[in-house]
Amino acid sequence: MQVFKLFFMILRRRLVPVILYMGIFILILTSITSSGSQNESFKPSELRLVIYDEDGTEASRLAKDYLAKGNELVDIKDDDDEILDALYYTTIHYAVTINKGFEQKLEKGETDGLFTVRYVHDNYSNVLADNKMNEYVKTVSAYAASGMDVESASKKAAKTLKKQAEVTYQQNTKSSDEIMGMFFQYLPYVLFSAIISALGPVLITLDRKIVRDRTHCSALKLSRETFGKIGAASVFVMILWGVFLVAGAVISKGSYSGKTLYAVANSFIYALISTGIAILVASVVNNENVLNVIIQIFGLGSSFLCGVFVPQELLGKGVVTVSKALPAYWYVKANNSVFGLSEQTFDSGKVLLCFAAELGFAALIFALAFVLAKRKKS
Amino acid sequence: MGVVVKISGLVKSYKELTAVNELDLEINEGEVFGLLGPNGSGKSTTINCLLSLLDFDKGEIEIFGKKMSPTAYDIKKDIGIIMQDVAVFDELTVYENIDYFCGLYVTDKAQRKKLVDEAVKFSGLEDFVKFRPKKLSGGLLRRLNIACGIAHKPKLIILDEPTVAVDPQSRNKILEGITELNKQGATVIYTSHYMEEVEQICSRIAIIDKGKKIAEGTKEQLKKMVKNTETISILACEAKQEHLEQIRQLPHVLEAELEDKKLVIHYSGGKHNLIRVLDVLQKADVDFGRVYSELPTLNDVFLELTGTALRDQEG
Repeated sequence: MQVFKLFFMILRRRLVPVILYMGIFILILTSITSSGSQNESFKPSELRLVIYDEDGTEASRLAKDYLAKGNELVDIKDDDDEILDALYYTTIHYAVTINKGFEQKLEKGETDGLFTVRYVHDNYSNVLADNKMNEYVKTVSAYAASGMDVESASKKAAKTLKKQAEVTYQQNTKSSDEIMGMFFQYLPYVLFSAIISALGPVLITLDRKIVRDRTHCSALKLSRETFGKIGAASVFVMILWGVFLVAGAVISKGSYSGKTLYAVANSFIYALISTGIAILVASVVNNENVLNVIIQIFGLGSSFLCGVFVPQELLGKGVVTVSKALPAYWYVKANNSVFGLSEQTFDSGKVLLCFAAELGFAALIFALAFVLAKRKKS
Repeated sequence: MGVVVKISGLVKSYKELTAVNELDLEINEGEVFGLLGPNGSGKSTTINCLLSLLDFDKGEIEIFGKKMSPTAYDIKKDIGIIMQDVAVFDELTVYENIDYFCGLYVTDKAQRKKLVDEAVKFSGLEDFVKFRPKKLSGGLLRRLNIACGIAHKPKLIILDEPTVAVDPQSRNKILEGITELNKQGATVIYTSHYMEEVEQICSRIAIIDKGKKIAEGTKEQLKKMVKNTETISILACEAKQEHLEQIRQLPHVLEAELEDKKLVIHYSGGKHNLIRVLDVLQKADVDFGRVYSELPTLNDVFLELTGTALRDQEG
């Protein structure tokens, strides 16, 4: 019990990185999953226009009315300098002059030279205004071509074009299953980092030669010391894993049932592997700085190589060959199958096969850690 | 007085280096036994073998009449160990450290609390119980190291160079503490390369060099092993060669030297040597300054036995 209690006394001073990893992960995941869920309403873009009617006919008046509709009509003197200033200071987006002979040209079915326009290039407003004018002219021309006079054709075109498409926003909210999939996708990196950054230093501290010697000189049986360490490490990892699972359920607003239980089991096996790696590293490394370097290299490296951060289907053939030798690959593969990610479909047989591969890695890591620890002690 | 520790024919080698060579020791109950030797003489290796922290090649070790082994927990429960390096946890407070190490021997909480409080008081750490080791000075840290080793009131206390890099004030406090523990009934094994410390607190001493015991006994017995029993130094002495010859004729004089007006006379036994030499100088009307009479030290014993001074080998 002494070693068990000691473990947690040391651990309490090493919890900051764990809390940071967990906090940042939950924060990022919450912000990703909540983006795009706000209700938004559609409002057509409104342009500020100035329209000069040099034709002065009924057809040009109807054209002016049509263009002005839905936009803001600005009154500016028909002077080049003033128009350029207004465009420069964006007092207006677009200046249109309905040229003389507008009605006559339309009657003849001509569509060129009906307007003179001035605008600032490379602006989406111009495209919008151009489209609106072209649409109007083409519609009027079409009606006029069918035998209508220009005035009737203009009225008919304005009426036809009045109809607007109904716009509805499709909300981009993710389902509970999708969020859970995302949660379990990124979990191995955070779980690994949190476990190693807490367990590693504690094990290194407990394994310092001078305190180890003092403990071995005491009346404490070696078996009790070992069980104390293993027991405390197991309890810590279980608590940490449990907290992550609770966080996952809260963020996804879901519960663990059905096939998601496979994901839970998958994460448990990965927690086991991370614990094994922590013990292995602590039995080789005596320096916490070296431990931090290993966390970064192995944690980030295996996450990138095995498809935690990048979907597995995007990984190159060579990368996949290498990553198969890392436990994270099998974790991600199982997770993809459970949640139907990376073009995978759920297949319990395949998932169990991945579990077996992961458990094989765990056994190997623990065996290696045991051998190294024994060698170190002797 | 029973034998607490018995080491017979202990041999420990590291590849071609024999660190401990056929070492025999018997340490009796209630003794403060000093293991004196220069750095690398095999003191710590002997202690590590004694505590079963190291396997040894040959020999037998018995503690409290039982064979010592890594799993001899019934023996270990009565041993307190204070290592050369401070073996405490930086993450725990002073109190938590003492409580943890005491808890490795004493499981009863109430009893442990009493023992920890006593250890805190004994080591003078009352004002620092909530401090973490990193906030303590070197001397206080050593005292914490000792408190962690003795809190469970062991019958046998092993101190392996506990005063290395400690200021004189803390060193005295530590030595007083060891004497006090011995008075309370503990048998103490004290290793050091500081002969003054060993002389000050140990009732019996073994001198080891290159893994071998070269002498053993009380300090008086050890000092009797040297021919030179007294050295008299006379400073600012105006003596001449003829006076030196007269002095050499005095009883028990081994050797007399005069260099830069400093007269040094070595004696082998005898009493009233100083009176005799001063009488010679006064009769010859020779002026002189300060006069010192030095009895042999353990360093002289070591010098006599090995041909090198203990101090020469330090560091």
